Amino acid sequence: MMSGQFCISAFAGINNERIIRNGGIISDVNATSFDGLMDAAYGSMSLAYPKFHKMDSLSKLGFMTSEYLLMNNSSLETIDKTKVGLVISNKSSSLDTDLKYHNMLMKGIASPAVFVYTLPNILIGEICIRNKFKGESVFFITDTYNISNQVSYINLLLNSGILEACIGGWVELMKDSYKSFLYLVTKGDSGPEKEFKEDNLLKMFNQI
Amino acid sequence: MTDTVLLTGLGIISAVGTNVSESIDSFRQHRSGIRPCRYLGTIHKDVFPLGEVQLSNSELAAMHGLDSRLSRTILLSFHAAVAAFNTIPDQKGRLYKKGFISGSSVGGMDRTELFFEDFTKDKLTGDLREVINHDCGKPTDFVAEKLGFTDFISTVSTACSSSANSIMLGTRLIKAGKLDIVIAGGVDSLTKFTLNGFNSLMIVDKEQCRPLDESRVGLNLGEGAAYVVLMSDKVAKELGVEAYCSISGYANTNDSFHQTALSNDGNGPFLAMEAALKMSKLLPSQIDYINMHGTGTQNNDMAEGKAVERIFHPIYPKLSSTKSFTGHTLGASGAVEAVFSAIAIKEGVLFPNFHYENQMADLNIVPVTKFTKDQKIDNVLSNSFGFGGNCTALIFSKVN
Amino acid sequence: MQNLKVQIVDQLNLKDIKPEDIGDDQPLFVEGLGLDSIDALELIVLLQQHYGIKLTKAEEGPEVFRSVTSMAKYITANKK
Repeated sequence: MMSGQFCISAFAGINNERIIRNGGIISDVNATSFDGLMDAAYGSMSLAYPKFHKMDSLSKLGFMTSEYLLMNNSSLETIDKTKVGLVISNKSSSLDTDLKYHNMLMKGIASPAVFVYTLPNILIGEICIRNKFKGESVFFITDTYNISNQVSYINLLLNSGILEACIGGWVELMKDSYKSFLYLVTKGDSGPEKEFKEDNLLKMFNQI
Repeated sequence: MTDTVLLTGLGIISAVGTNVSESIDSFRQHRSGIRPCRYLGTIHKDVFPLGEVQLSNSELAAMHGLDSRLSRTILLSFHAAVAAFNTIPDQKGRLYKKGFISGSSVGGMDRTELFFEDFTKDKLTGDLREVINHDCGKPTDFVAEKLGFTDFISTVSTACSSSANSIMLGTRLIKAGKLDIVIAGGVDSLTKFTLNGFNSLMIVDKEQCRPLDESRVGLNLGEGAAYVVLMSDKVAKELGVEAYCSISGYANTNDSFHQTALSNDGNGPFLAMEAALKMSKLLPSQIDYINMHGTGTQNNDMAEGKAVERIFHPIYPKLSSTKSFTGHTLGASGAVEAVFSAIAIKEGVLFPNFHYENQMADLNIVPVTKFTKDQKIDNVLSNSFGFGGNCTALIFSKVN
Repeated sequence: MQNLKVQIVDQLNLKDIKPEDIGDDQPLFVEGLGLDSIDALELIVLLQQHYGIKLTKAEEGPEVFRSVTSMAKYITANKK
């Protein structure tokens, strides 16, 4: 399959206590802090997924963004879950949680529940556990969001048939500063504005 | 674009040696690198044996004219990467596109935790220069720049499968014609952070670990770095280098079961091994040796063992876990074990488990227990499974 | 025991559950509370942090953490 036959079938992002989904703001979720936003979003979606409360901030951010991304999206229904994967990047890795864990260690507490999240790819694991995705996944650490490299990587996975759908994006969180952007790439043609290419993704990223 | 990617050079440092020949020697002499803690300043010093590289930061730095206050992660990475780099002959003025891909879970954590001890007691103390290199990406950038491998630099952070994924990415980039020569691998150094963390999960053995043994109770943590040189057969011919082997198959899957434990039947590992075999077009019976992920935890060895049996039943290849000698080197493990896999093919040797007595209940597999020479090893499968369900299988094959 | 329930809910981040909803003899590790192996390890940390008890043998875990009642009994017997 040549490139040009993949489309961005959905995107979502969270930034500055605001949730964007496919270009529109989710208006029924309001909060004045990150924690408040996560709780409000969880409540508004009536998720009934208690594991959410045990996640660290980075995983909550990625997980919640993926819930909005995949909400009411039927494109994955007919796709074999071993062919759905994720390619995600960020700058700070799991540093926010690393520091929290370290602070607890200094107080003599080695918390296994916090330690578990001192790796950025655990957020990929959480999304996969939730959705039973079994395809290839990878997490890259880069200074800034390199959309071009990510597009090349995902094109390779789709063109080679390793995946039939892929979630890509940037999930970054460090103390009070956070921004997430996730998009879903599937086969098909939904018009030029949704074609899976760098400039379309950049437009969407800038809407977050 | 090319189909054949060759592995032409190696660099490695771990508890079993500071270079390739020292490492092989440790296996030949059945000398495990798991020892009482010597360098890491931890309260668990007398409790947990570790796979420490037997060089202090000062010694490592002095070997390469580097600043001894650099993160141990940078020092180890540089040591192994330079060894790999030195296997590349003079390019005779040809301009090749070169990439450096490194996987790590710890980054510069070793220096950061030193900073924090001072900082926590008194916010006016602590040298901020200690935390400059904390980011996972900093060791990669540092080494890439020193080697002049700057056309493509990338850091993979997928826990214990990081460096296996680095090798997979390097292979893909060469196949796609984006790069000509890649140094790919990974590094992790021991930190109190990691030791305390794994201990809180109660999966660390207070004795020498016993992977694939029914009586196993956990892993031993280790540290190290390893890098392989990858290039297309065309570039290898131009440079006149011989290959250890080719990268004939690879796959990555997600187990999607739990953040830190594998599913009981080892589904993620099974799917990864199956896909890697499919890519390599090899039958299970053509695999001569499996370098198991084999951490020594109850969960991993059972899940991986079950997955191996699902694929290879009823005739199992020779297999072992070299982590019984090196400890679990975390982000470096995929590349450390890729080096052993390449050597297995080139030298025709089988690596053993260090200590094995009891077959795992419900399983048929039994590891190699003695270093063996003069073996015909044409195809090796190497497994690396990371927290977050990230499962990678690499297949290395002899070239004619 | 009510105090212990509050500590459990707090330590394990069980935000959807109220302490009073946990039965004294209700099995802790079944579907209802959604507890897993990491939660078991966190309960070990709880024993150490709040009661100074060090549980070092993972095998003892299932019996000690079977229910709030069994936890309370263990704490009374081993509290420092």
